[in-house]
Amino acid sequence: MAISIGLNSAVRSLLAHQEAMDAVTHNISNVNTPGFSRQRIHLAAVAPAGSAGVGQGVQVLSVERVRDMFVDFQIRTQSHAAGDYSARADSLSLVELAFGEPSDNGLRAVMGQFFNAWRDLANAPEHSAARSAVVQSGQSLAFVAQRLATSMADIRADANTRLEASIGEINDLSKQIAQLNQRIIEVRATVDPASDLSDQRDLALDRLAQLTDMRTIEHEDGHIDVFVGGRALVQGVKSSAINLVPDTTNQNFYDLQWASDGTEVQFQSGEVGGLLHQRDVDLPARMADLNTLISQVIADVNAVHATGYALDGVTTGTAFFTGTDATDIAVNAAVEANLGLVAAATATGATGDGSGALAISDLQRATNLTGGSQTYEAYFNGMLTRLGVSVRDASGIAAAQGATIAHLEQLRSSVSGVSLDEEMVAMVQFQKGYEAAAKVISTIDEMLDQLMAMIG
Amino acid sequence: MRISNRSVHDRLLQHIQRATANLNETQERVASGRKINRPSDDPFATARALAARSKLDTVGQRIRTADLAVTELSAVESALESLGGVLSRAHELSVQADSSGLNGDARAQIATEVEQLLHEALSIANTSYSGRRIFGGHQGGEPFTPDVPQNPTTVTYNGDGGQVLREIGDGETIAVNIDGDPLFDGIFASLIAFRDGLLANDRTAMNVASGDISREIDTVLTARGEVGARMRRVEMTWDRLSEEELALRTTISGLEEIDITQEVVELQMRDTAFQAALSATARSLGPSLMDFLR
Repeated sequence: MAISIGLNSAVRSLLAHQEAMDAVTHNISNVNTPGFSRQRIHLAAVAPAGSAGVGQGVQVLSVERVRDMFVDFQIRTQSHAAGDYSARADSLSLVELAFGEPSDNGLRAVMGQFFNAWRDLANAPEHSAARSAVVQSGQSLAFVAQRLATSMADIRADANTRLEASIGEINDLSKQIAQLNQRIIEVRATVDPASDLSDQRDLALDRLAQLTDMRTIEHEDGHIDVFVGGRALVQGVKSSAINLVPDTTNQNFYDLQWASDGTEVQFQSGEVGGLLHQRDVDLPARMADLNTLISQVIADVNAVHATGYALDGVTTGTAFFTGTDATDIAVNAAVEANLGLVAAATATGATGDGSGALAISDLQRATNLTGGSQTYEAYFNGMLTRLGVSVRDASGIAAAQGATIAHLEQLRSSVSGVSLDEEMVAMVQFQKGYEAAAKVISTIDEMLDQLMAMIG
Repeated sequence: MRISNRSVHDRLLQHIQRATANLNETQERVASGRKINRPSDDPFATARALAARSKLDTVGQRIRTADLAVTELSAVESALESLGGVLSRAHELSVQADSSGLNGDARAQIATEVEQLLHEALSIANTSYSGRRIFGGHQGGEPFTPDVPQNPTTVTYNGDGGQVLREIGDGETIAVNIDGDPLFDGIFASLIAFRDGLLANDRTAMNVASGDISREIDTVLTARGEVGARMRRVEMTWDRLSEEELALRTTISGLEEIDITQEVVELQMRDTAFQAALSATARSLGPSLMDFLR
């Protein structure tokens, strides 16, 4: 066997260990990089040149990232629901905050004060202070109802704004994924597994999975296609943009359409799904409930008030409230301007009669809502209970999903994450290998020197 | 399981965050003194607490109304008491005037006092409480007006028969006035007849009037009995409402407020858990193989 072969083996060893050391350096450098998968170097012995004899040293077969695709899939599946319910929980918590119950100045309290003011008026129909208190408590009721309606409209608009941001992010991510697909195809053609590019793409896919319920298909050449609502968001090196189109029939909130043909994107879940649900289903339903309640109060109070007589004992048929629901309820401006118009009496010319005021306060006990089965308060409490349950459920599901994802991320991290201790061991190991190879070279050098001396 | 540096960090961070969240939750409860700060803390307890608060508002209003009803009935009661006094004095005078030893002059003198009693009865009939004429029904203004202010011969009623109702329970009302017309009609008539009899020195007319006056005394006593019965009813209702108010307050505080002892113990425990998470983190982040490779 030629000495030069030994020298070649030793050089291969030096190079292989150097490359292994590079991998260690790369791993250590990226210990804190999000989405980074540790890379493992595969060393293999080089077979002898002939059919028999000693092998020709070592070679680097490949550098591969260590990754568990199944855990990735699991994390993404769980992320859809996590994104969906945390979006719902965020929006619902805001509604809960707007109601501000239990308290002494929420809608429940001002409604109670309103009816109590009528009772006080019934006790002193000839006193203008009692009339003034009725009008003021009516104004408070209108103010709080309108404030709630405005807050809920704002929360809807906020969901729309967040939707805009999310769609922007989806468009960015899909572009990124398409570009990474292209580079991965190119790099993989050179037999490099494109580990770092794949890590970047996985990070983008993880985020996309929180935003929307997407499906992915990985192809032989390394590119991944992404589908949303049955249509391709990313196909090979091309991405499809999603457009935000103001819908004039829906308060100019955005419709989400495929840029290519204007059809609606079918989002089911993820942050976008959750925001759409809040904006178009949940919040409108809660606003409708509030409006049902306030409309009923306006209609009932006005109906009874119209049968009563004003302080002058003659004027009748006056409406106490104007407006039709929570968005525009107000005390009739004529009544505000002339407290005498508050109808406390049920008979003509009876200034000391408070039975009309009492009849209005009795409305508090009337079951005029939900098919004649609920009082205003019972209806309101029902609304609030449903809200509380929704907030609790959405937050609960979001938290549970979060915990599952955290657990899966632990799993992922235990497979793909960098352990500095492990890298230190590898570092020492490869250093020793390198030293040994260098020692072989210097030994062969001595051997050659001896040989040369003999010739000389 | 293989442990990577990232998984160690993530897990430690998770533990600290959970411990912080738990601690924060208890701190909020202890600081606010409430276990329900928003409906989602306990939706069903919130619904019950809200219903109880509404009931409490109404009960509070009813108690105020009952207080008002008691004072209004007291005003009627004291008016009737004075009225009874007036009539008793008139009856005494009718006994005195019936004495055979009296001449016309002496009777005319008694008539002057009866005239004063008549004016007193008139002013009682026009009593107002807090701006309302208590014997005028639903009408404002003086309910009783004499035809001749100095020497009335008839008194006209300007009020109506309207009942002044106070709501002391759901759909449960009580009248705090007495219809003035039937009450005072006979009183004025008998006093005027007595006075006129005295002035005319007519013993027969005086005796008829005396009989009428003693019947009116009975009428006033009956009215006082009626008012007294109403007051007792309102007072009983007031007692029941106060008990209900107390029960509602207890319910609300049971639903909304924390058990401070329990929460403070919980706070201590969670604080300890938080400290433990911090100290575990400090230890776990410390050693690494790098410390030993020198």
